[in-house]
Amino acid sequence: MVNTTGTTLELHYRDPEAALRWLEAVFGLETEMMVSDPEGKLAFARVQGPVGIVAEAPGRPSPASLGGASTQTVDVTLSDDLDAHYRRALQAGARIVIEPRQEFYGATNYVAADLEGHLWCFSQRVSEGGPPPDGWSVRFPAREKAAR
Amino acid sequence: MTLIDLEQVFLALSPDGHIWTFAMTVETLTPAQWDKASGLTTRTRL
Repeated sequence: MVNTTGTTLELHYRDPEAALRWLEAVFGLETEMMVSDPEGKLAFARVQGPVGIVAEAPGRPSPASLGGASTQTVDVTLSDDLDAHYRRALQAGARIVIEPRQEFYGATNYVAADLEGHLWCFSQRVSEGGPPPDGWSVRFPAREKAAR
Repeated sequence: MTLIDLEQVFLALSPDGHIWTFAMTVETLTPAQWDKASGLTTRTRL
């Protein structure tokens, strides 16, 4: 096992400044830090999560440059009022990919695409959860390894 | 005040092409210190 102090997802955008404005207006995610180069161009930013926001570059495209294809989802756990967050995102024009649903592990969540196609899953813990559906199984390999 | 980690990093691709950046903090700086060292400008609001 590698020793870590944290993991941050970094998303690539064609227009990262527009992305920051959109993420705050639609998802309510505040910008924590912005770093600009000497020409004033945004080099890196960080929004609540934390999630890194950077300009796309060769080999690191935005989904908008891939016909909308996205290979990852950012999971954000809200402390309260997922329904209000969903309504706000919907009214502000977010494309809802998965409508709010309850998961067996005790969370309610929904998935929305941002302005360039990155997927965001917003969830809220609503119960202790229950057993997985028939045929499903849940394992905790790291715990199993530590117990050996 | 937001502090900024000065990091040593490398990037690697996973088998399916996801980019992983591994970083280690070598020094923690204030935005002013970091701006002076990097030549960049740090802001905390849009």
